[in-house]
Amino acid sequence: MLKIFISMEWGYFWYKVSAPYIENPLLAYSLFFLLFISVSFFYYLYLAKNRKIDNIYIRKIPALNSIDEAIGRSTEMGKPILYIPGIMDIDNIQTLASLSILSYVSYKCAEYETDFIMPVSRSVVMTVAQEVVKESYLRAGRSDLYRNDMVFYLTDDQFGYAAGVDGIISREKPGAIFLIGAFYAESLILAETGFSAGAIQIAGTAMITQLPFFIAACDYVLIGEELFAASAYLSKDILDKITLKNQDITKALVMVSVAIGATINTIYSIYPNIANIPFINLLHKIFQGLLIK
Amino acid sequence: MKRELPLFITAITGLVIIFNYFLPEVTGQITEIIRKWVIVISSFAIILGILNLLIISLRKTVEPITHIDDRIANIVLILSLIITIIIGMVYKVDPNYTSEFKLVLDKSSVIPLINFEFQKVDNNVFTNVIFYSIYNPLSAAMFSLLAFFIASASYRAFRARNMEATLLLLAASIVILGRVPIGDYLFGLIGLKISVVSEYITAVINAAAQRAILIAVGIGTIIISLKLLFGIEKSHIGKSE
Repeated sequence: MLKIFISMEWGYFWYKVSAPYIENPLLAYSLFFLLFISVSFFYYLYLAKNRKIDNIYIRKIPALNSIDEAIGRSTEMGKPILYIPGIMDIDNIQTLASLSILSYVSYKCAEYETDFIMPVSRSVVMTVAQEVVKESYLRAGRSDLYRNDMVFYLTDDQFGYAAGVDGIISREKPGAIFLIGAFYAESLILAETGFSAGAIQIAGTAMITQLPFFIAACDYVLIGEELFAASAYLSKDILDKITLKNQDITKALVMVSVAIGATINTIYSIYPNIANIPFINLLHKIFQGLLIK
Repeated sequence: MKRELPLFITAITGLVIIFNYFLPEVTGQITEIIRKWVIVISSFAIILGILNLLIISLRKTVEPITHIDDRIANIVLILSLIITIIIGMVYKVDPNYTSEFKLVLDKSSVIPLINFEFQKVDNNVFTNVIFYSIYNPLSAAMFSLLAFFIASASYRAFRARNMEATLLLLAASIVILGRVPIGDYLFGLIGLKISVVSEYITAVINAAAQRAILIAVGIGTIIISLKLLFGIEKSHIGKSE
């Protein structure tokens, strides 16, 4: 009796687990990719921790190499640095990636004794950014230069924030402007005002619709995934850097999948009879699933 | 402990949300509950933001080194903030809207016409003035600046300085001409339907490049999320090297 009960419980459990996958088979693809990324993530972490990999090759990212140059130029001109972390809240991954770059930028500002201004549009981001900047100044051994009003809240309103930042750019005339994070329609308003103020502008976003605006108006741009690779690129820690390897392996898997899928679907559309070969038919079904939105 | 506790909370919360995404029937509505918590915490943080804004603006107003333009801007900000808060608390935004006839510009016709329209209007004269007569026009004015900025940015981007910029100029010219009737008419004289070429550039070349960026962004997002979950990425809570 107990055996039947347990088997029934397990049966019910498996029903609950499998129901969403039967309803939406694409969830299985997501799970497969997440598992693949996670396994390779831990594998490379294991290699790095056990010193089996000491260093990896990272291609040069001009936008990140120019951070020092931009801060140095501002220092020479006696102008402040303006850092804008986007308009989204802390739950947005781009804001978090931006805060990683903020750590490096504020550290360099502390080292060079350059004024640092950071208006934010979300109060939670303000508190986190204040901590990051304070810690960077401490790390640089210049905690005496840190002021609480370096990072300040403006408004949650999109165009109110754009107007406020435009006003700051016009009055303070910063030597370098960092526009790194999630942006919407205000991206070009900010970037063009920065251009007219004569500042070096380094932008970075994963918002595909705003990238052309930044490319047109800024000196250097972190395009898409470069924003997420920035913290690893700027870090000296191999544990940080090794994640880029993982990112590349996953990209290779996606590229291979796209190539195989495109080839099989093309052949299938030209020669439908190829479905009689069981292996090809299976592959076609798998990759057709990937094409369904 | 200052770093370990946030990392621990991040890891647990992140894992719970991932499990909830892949096993929704087993883990229940936990993501929704966490989302509600986030809203509550964010609401409290707004007070922190407003206080920070008020303190910094007051300091800038009274400091003798502040430039006169900056001082005026700060005084306007403080007054606007206080007046809006007082009016909001005393009068509130009226939930009982009444309907009124209003004069509305009909933009659908070739020649703009003025029509009568039935609109819902807030009766409160104060909130009406602040939101409909001050805030909305200012927001619209800021947004409208975008049109001029697009023109100036395009002008710079389309200058044929090198190979890439020339290709950009060429592609943009084809897309622009493909979207207007005169483009098809002019290129029709040499037997070319430019709207088809324009459509091909947007739907195939542009879409392929955008998808490549999107896929890479997706992978980057997963990797950085894993780094945050397992405490490899610590910059957001203060990195110690």
